[in-house]
Amino acid sequence: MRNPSISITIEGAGFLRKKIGTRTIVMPPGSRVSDIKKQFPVDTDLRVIVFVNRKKASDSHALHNGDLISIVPIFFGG
Amino acid sequence: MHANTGKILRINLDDNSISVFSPDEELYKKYIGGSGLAAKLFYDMADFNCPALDPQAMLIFMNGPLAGVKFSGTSRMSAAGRSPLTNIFAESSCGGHFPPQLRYAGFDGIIITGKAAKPSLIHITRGKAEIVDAGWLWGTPISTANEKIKTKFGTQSKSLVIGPAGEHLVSFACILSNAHHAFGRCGFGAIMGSKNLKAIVIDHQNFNQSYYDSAKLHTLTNEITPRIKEHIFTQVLNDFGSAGNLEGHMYTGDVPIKNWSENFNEEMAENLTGSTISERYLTRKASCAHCVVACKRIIRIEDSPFAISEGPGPEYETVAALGCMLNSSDLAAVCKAGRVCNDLGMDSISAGATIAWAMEAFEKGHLTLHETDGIALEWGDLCTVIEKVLPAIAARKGNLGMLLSHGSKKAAEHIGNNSISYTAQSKGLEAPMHDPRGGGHGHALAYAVSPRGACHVSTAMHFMETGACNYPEIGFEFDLEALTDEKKPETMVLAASIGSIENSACFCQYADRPLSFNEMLELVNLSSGYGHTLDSFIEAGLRIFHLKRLINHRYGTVRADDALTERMLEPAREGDGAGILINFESMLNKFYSLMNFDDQKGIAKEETLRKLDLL
Ligand code: SF4
Repeated sequence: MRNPSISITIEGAGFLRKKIGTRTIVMPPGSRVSDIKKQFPVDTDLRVIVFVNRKKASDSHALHNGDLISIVPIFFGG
Repeated sequence: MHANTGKILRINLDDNSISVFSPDEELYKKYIGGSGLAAKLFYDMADFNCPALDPQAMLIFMNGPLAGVKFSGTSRMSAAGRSPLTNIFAESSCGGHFPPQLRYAGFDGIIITGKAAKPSLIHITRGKAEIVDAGWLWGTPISTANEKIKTKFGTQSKSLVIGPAGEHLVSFACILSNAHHAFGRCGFGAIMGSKNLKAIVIDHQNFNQSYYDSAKLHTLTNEITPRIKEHIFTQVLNDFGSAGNLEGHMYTGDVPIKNWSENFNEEMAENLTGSTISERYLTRKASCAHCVVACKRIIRIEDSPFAISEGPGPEYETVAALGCMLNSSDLAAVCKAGRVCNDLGMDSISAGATIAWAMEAFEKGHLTLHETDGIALEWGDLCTVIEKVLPAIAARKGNLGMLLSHGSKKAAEHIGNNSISYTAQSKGLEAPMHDPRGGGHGHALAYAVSPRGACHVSTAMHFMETGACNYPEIGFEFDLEALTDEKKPETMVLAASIGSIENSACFCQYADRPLSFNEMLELVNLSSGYGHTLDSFIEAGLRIFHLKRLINHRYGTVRADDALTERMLEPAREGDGAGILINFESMLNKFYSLMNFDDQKGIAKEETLRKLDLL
């Protein structure tokens, strides 16, 4: 039997909240954080960190059904 | 001379004498201008036995070579002196419109000593200055004083003004330029107050400057400006102000909450972030002279217990210091607290951090109702902060006002109970609103070794660690992992030089982010004709950093003062940095070795000082 697809929620944080919003998407099984980054390209001058369920995750982190993904821009402060 | 005028106003308020002083031209190149030149003049001319608020204490305002150039982020200047808050070298930087006007009036800077017999102001017009009575301004909040000055000297006049806090010698009183842009840190407002100096006013001046190579400078600025405009950093700063990514910072654990005891609060993140400020209260954007970034906010709040008229809105530091640190998510209250702080003339970082410490002390029973004059200091109660605490501090009134007016370190030393352990400061300067435990461990090193005390802008570490700049020309082209000490001491060496260059050339650290290091160098050379090479520019930055450490050593600082408090170094309790210890001593040791610092004295060893021409 094929693995079912996984459903994950993606949100932009900080000033990416408006740009990305909050949405639920379906990804193929075995998807990783790096696959999310490809789907939501941001400005090349910007570094982002991806949080999975509020914990920082590396590009190779495997995603699971129901995960909450936050795309957080790293930007100097005031 | 090009760009610089070579003329510095020297004013002695004891006898109203005014003269013009011309430093050796070579000093301009070696110390670049701004904070570097001010530090050098202070080192050579100040009396190191003079207490911070003594009439003979020296107060310096200094432009960099770029002030007046019609280009983004160059309209800034530096102040130097001895801080009443830290008792060591004080420096602060301010944007707005005053710096180019001072340059167009014919001066690079102003050196002030003495104390006026009565409240006074310095009035500058083209090529000359006068000291005039300011009795009609004394006692007024900054916004009122600003309006009165405009009525008397013209709507286009530019001013530096202190508020009641400066008049009452609050240790962290600030100076505001045109009631908006601040010399925030280190207590410069109190230094002016101690001299009976309410304001410095410049009449409007027309552009007049000559540059080393005007044509090339014009071409370069025209070439870079579209890039600055389009850069993602500019777009965020323009749309949402400097608090534009407060929410993003919150995720990484960079924002200190509740006196550095928490690191994440979703409601706070959403309510206080810059986009919420823009959506709810922004009426228009504002900028320093010639800047396309326009990160400044003009806001108005209606239909709220915290209603405020149209005027300057809070920066990131103010939002975090008077909101997150005091555990409030009430944006209107935070904006109002920021406005009140400005109007009274106090640094919002030190004010917020000191009140946050007092709230924790009250919670722990280390401060009682007796010491607070019956005021209950409860987390999140900004009503009390706005109506009672801030005015009491500014007036140094009652037990509480007097205690907190000295800042968190001295207040903690006064009440004891090891309450110093939960201050967040280094050398007595309250830390800015970036928590190294989440924002990046290099910040901890930067706070400890920055000459004025805990500071994220006197060096470039904050920008380098957050990946906001990349300078392959000088060997900085790597991504730093925030929550480790890896490459942080090495980065700190470069950061010390780059930060000194930025603050001496007087680049704005927001607007200059899209610039390459070569472009910064070119801008300085084309305007001033200094003829710096990459190497000599970096060396000048290091010279300035080492010089400020020498000044501090004259005031008695040693390696043991390069320290952070227990609260700042205990592992964060939540977020990404939870449980991770900062490898602080190891970073500090490595930095000392890379800088060739003496292990006890905390200044460079003789051979390095000689090499930099500091001996
Ligand atoms: S970016 Fe903001 S602070 Fe910097 S010069 Fe421009 S308006 Fe002023």
